[in-house]
Amino acid sequence: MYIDIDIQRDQLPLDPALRGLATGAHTRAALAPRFERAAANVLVRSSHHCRVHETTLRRMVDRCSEQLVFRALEDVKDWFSYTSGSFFSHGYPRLHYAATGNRKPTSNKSAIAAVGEGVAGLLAMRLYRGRLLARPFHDYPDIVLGSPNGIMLVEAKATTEDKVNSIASAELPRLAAYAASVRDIDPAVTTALLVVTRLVREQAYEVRIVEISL
Amino acid sequence: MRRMPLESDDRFRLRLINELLDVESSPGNPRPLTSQVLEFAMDEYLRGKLDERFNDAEDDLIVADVVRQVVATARDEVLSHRSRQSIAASVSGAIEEARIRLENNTTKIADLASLRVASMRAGRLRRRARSASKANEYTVEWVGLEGALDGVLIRPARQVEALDLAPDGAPWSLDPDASWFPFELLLDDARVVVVEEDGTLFVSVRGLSRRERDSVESQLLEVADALYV
Repeated sequence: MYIDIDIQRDQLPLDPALRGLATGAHTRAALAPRFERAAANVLVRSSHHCRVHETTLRRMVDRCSEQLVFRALEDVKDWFSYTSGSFFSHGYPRLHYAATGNRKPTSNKSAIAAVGEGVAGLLAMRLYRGRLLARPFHDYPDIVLGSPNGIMLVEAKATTEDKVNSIASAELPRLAAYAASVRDIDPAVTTALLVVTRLVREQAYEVRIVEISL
Repeated sequence: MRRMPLESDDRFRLRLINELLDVESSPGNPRPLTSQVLEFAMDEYLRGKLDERFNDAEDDLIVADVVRQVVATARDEVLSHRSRQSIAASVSGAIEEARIRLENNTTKIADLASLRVASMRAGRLRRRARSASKANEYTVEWVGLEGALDGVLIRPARQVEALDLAPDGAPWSLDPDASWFPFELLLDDARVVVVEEDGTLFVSVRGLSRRERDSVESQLLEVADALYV
């Protein structure tokens, strides 16, 4: 089974003013809208598409994720089966209309995060010719890669909801501020990628990449 | 013919560590080692060596001995690079810091390795095996417990410098737009072989019978023979 990934790629050159705003916005929330407006003025947007076999993505999840989840893609598929009403069909246990109170079932956040990390690693390799250098455990950012254009830092986020842009807006000042500080002590770092994945359906994902050039 | 160069993970990390050290120790840069990426790379480099040592083991190892050997090998490999002697103390310090950062990891790796040895003895996990085909020798590693196998990984037993993704008469098809790892080779029976940047091949065997798994293994060895240059 193949998964189609539609990608919106935003290239953001981090000039000194934007660096300052990013650092400020990371500390002071009131500066966040100003950072966002300034970033929107300079970013260059393009669209891409990537098709990946489930076996390859599974392998990328195993290599890039630190989530303690063993069958992330299967878990996500179960969630889509549930939200599409498939669990009401014959052949499934009669569990899903017996929920009590107002608590709604939710997706497995670890599985979704794991798939997001796998997608981020995959795209950093396929689109940027990156190679996994390190997967820092319980640290920031998620993945460090070597590439022909220098070292890349990757932070991955994932959701099943339609909120890719708000997740990207919330995370971008943090990653931009961190990348700017790393650049001062690590001249080999040239790029930081924020990769936000929305798992739309079991065979269709949407991704927004913000590529911060240092 | 479509040739792609290969490099093992260990060599790749060492090469990047050396590139980072070149920047850190250049004449115009007299600071002590401050690179965070160097720290990440050093941790991964040592962790990779520890993983390999414990994965190769068929018996319980003495953790302190393994760590001592791994640190000594890492120091020799990094310092063997030309022009490193002037920063030998800094390099040794960076490796020692990585060793300390990895202390918890090392304990966990050793615990898991010990459980793995017990499971191999009980026949619940397969040992890493060497498998010789017509052309080459490979390391074959099954992923998962004997009763719930997930996949199989094949690597050349010796260092291979390149692979050819499009040899004459290749028993697979490849997306012509695919330009970088991980590549996907589509076999006639719709099975996909994932090709990774160090030359590792992976195939999923979930839900297959023993006979089907045996056939996957021999199919994968044929692919490997045609792939590696």
